[in-house]
Amino acid sequence: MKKRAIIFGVVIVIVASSCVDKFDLSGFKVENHLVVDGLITNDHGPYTVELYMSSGIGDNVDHPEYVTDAIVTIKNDLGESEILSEASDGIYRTAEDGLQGEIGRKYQLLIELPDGRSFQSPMDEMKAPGNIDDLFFEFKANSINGNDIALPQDAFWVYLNSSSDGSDDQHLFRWRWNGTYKIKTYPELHVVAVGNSFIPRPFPCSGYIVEEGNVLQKIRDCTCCECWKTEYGGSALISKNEFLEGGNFRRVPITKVPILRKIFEDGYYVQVEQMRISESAYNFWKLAEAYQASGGNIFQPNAVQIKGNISSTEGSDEVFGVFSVAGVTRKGVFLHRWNIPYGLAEGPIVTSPCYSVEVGATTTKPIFW
Amino acid sequence: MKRTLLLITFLLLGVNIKAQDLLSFKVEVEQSQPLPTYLLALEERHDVKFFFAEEWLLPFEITISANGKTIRDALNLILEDSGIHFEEHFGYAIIFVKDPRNEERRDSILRVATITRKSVDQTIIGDARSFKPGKRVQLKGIVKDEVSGNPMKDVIVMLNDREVASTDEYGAYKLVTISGGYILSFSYPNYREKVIDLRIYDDGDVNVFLEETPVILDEVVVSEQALTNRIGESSLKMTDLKRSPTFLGERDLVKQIQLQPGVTTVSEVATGFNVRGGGVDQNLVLYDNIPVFNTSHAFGFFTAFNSEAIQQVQFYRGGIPSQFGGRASSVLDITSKEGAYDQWHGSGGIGIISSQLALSGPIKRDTASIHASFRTSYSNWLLQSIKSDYDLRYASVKFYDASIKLTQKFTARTKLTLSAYSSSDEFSLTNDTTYMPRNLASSIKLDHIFNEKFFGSVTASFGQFSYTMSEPEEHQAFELKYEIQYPSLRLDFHVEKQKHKISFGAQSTLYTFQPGDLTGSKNSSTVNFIMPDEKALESGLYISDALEISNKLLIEAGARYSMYHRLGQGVTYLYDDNKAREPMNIKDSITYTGGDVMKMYQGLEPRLSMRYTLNDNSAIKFGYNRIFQYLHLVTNTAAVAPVDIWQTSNEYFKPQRADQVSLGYYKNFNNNVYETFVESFYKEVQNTLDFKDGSQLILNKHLETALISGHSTSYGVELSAAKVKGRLTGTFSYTFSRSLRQTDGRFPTERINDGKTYSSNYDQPHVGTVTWRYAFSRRHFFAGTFTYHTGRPTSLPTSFYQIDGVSIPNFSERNKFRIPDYHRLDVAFIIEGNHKRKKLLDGTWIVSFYNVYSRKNAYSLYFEDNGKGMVTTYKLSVIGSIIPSVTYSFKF
Repeated sequence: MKKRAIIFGVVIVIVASSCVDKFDLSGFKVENHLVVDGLITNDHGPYTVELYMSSGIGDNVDHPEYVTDAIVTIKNDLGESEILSEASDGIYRTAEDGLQGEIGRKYQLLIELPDGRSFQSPMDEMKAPGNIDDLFFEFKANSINGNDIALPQDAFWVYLNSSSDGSDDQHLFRWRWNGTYKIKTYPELHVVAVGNSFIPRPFPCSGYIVEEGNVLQKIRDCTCCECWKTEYGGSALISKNEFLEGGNFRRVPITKVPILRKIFEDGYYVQVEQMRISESAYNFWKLAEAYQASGGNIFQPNAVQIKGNISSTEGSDEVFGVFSVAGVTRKGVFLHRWNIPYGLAEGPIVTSPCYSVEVGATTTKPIFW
Repeated sequence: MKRTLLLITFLLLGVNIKAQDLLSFKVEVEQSQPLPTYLLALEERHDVKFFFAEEWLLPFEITISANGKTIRDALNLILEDSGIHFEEHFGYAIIFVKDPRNEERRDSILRVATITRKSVDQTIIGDARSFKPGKRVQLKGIVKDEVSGNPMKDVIVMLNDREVASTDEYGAYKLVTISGGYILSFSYPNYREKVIDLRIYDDGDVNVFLEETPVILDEVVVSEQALTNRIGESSLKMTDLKRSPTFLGERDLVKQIQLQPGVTTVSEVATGFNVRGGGVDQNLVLYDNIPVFNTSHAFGFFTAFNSEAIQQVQFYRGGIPSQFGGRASSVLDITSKEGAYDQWHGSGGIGIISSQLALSGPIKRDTASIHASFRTSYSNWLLQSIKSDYDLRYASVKFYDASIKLTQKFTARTKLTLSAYSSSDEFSLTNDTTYMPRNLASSIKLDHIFNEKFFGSVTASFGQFSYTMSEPEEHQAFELKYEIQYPSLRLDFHVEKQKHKISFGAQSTLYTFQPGDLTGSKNSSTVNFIMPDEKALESGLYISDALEISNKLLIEAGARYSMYHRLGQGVTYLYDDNKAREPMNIKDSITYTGGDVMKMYQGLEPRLSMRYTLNDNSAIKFGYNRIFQYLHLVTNTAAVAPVDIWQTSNEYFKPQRADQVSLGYYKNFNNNVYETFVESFYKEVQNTLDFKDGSQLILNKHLETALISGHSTSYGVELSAAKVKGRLTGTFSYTFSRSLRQTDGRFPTERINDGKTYSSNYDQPHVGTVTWRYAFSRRHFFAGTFTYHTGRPTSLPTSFYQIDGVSIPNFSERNKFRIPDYHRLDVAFIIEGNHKRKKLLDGTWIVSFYNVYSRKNAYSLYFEDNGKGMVTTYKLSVIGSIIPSVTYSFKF
């Protein structure tokens, strides 16, 4: 027996590891289909419809292949219609003084592609948007996780109370929000290095020039010191029964605004749009929301097949997207810097023109500011 | 001598001439006389010759009781079971032939026993002087465990190596044989075989104690089990479990079940198992007869049962007996260990993840005993060292499970057992949400033996399954609580009458569901959502009869009548018939108060199991069962998440109805060294639930709008070949099966894949496993497992687009794609303690390597939008490398 005895000298090194690898799906044949993204509201026109092709995995969704030369028509239940003009590749618009959305009217989108295929949306009624009764916020310390889950951040939580006009018992809303903040820069303090020293070199738009002896002299108002940047919420947000109280929605969470020095130079303006949408559009956004909610879940909820409200007139071609007919109302709220219960540390002094700080920053002051 | 030579000559010639019946003369004797004397006297008077060896017939005598019988009948009676036969030849010769194998066998058994140093006890029953050849004697007795003093069930009793009886649950056996000399032996896996050189001349008792052996090189296998079990039934051997590779050092009952043919799992991180294309919720897992809802710890990494507490495990995947009901696909029947009645023993184990301790002993010697076990995890460092994209630095896993069994014998015929089992978990992946599932199963059982052929038991039990999901984060802190309570009462009886073995009983369970209470756990959070409780009563009556029609044919036929009442209080919403069932289409509701019956279902469930033995080493079996399942596990994830919901049947959720037929052929080779079988099955389940796209299941008051019912079909063939004896043992099994679903409602949103047939989440057509164990010596083993299965189906996005800045994927039809195939090799070295019978501590080391070749098996495929419009698909592998572990366990 002895010769068979086995002696294990085992040094146990635990190198347990789970891992995530890229998975190559390129072998799957992917057929791209037409995508329709359109909206008509009770706001004054023009209204826009975009046509493009869906992207395969690994393609850039931000730069899809637009579909040009289509005949895009919006018509209403009175038989009036307007053919949209192609403002740029794949982007079709009504005329400024063309068809206007009205509460109580029904609207339908018709598309004819150059290859002869045609698509349409259902004839949906534009319903009254109801009211946003209140848009309010609460400061909550350590309440969101940014990039590092170990470092929670303080934030303003923005909620909404809303009511419909009671015209029917379906509460089909979609909310979208945008946030605007001011960017303040000091382009007059711009310097360049010459040898071992810095010399002032203000941007011309700062309104300053350098005089002899490196003295700054203001000659006109600065045109690039104050900018405004608007961010758009990227979440599908729809009405759900869990917030329903006696026919009204209460404390619907809209967004969480992190307390960042960058966006609280002055204050942060949140504007919410309440859109009363049709059942077909609601079902689309409901699935989109379910898909978004499942992202990053280790338990991996199974897939959702998201079908829009556009269909092929022949009934055979697959098509994605949605044409929303929506009554819309808006409300905004200012999150002031003084609402933060502590003083924010001053940030770095930026000496470049404000519009170069963030993509899409504009020097045009918004009307609500 | 002359006669013997002649006899051999005749045998060689093999002639057999049919002549007039020499043996129809009537016996007429005045007094008892030895058989040879009588036969020779007959030769004098009639034209007949008897050929025999005198010493064979000398022990037999002919008595006056034989008068009036024909000589043929008298000889048959006298020589019954003696091994001696007679034949007629040439119209005048009667030749007595003796099968010499009995004697030879007895001698050889004795020789083998001596060589293998088995102790051979000598026992004499009755007086040798009263020896009457051919006399029928009854032998009975009780077999008990030497250490615990507990009666042992299913011990094989053999006479001259021929299986003649087995013990019942009271350890009792009984047999009838011809008086004489035998080798009597008792065997049971992992116990030292008891060999008795028996001389039995009268009725008598042989009671034995069997001693557990630390290691048996050539494990005694319950003889011809593969042939005698029901179709689809297997008994798990705890020794196999103890000598198998482990994952992180944890012995795992459920992983062992997953190696059975016809059983699959979707991943390591999946609780439970899928049997013959059935869902995880279709398995009835019983712990001492009480259903257990959650069978795993920590997302499914480990089993919730401590193997040290388990006595016996039976697994049924087809031909399910009528005493079981309520789950459509399988039964895993776990019996926990009973405490020892004579002295205290214990066992323990130390692993990387957890440690466990079990104690067993008498409270009052010979009448009351206790068995208690406890296992707890103690470390998070391992989990936190796992490198993954999920930041696991703040992950935590804690769990424990405990069981206790108290037994009190009032008389030899009455026994009271108290059993309790509890398991609890607390785990979180990041530092936010914590999941805390809990199980509780407790029972009190009274066994009574009315007489040897009639016994029964009454059991009252209380079970509870709950989980809490807790979010500690300030401001949105909440606790989501889910709970099921299920007190139950059951009666079971067993009667034996001639060739019938009849079981019957009744069972009733009252379920109370708390489908979800969401409450803010801190002042600053205002969440509050309470789902109303739901109550249901499930009852069943069953009867079955195992009838041995002949030596070859056994039929067990039975039926179960099950009833289900969904009880108030509650609300049934009524939907517009002409529209899809959506919350917005509610047109009315009916409110029920406490005690009202909201909905009732009932049904008869026929069960049938047949076995036809073709010969000593092959058999054909057939099984059929219908089962109603009244509880449904509601899930929209591939693996079962700890926050899944059990939904009770109601107006909209009809009970699932499973019908399964199975047919199998079993053959053993090489003196039962090799066991093989092929089993095929076909199963239909009606009213299975699947989720609608994008449906929200938790805290949904209108679940009927989120789920749609369909039906599933599964079929397959299971092949298995095992070598069950020798230095190398192992099993190879392969299963081909499909598990398909169809969900075709009236409205587009109530159809899946447009009403076409699609693969279920666990449709894995090819599954193969190889397990082996090689014994280097009596104490050193090299064991391994290789598993392979087709990747499970999944739905993948095939294209993407953005609408109003929101990225939206376009998914394939449900379950159209498959994740990559799964395969994994595990090995283990097992070093057991020395085999001295008396020692202080008996220790075992297991060094295990899980996922030997570091395959990154896919758990899931998912995709991420990088925020810049690019979508990439990723494969998540939960185990991405080899995982070594070492465990030490001991007994005292």
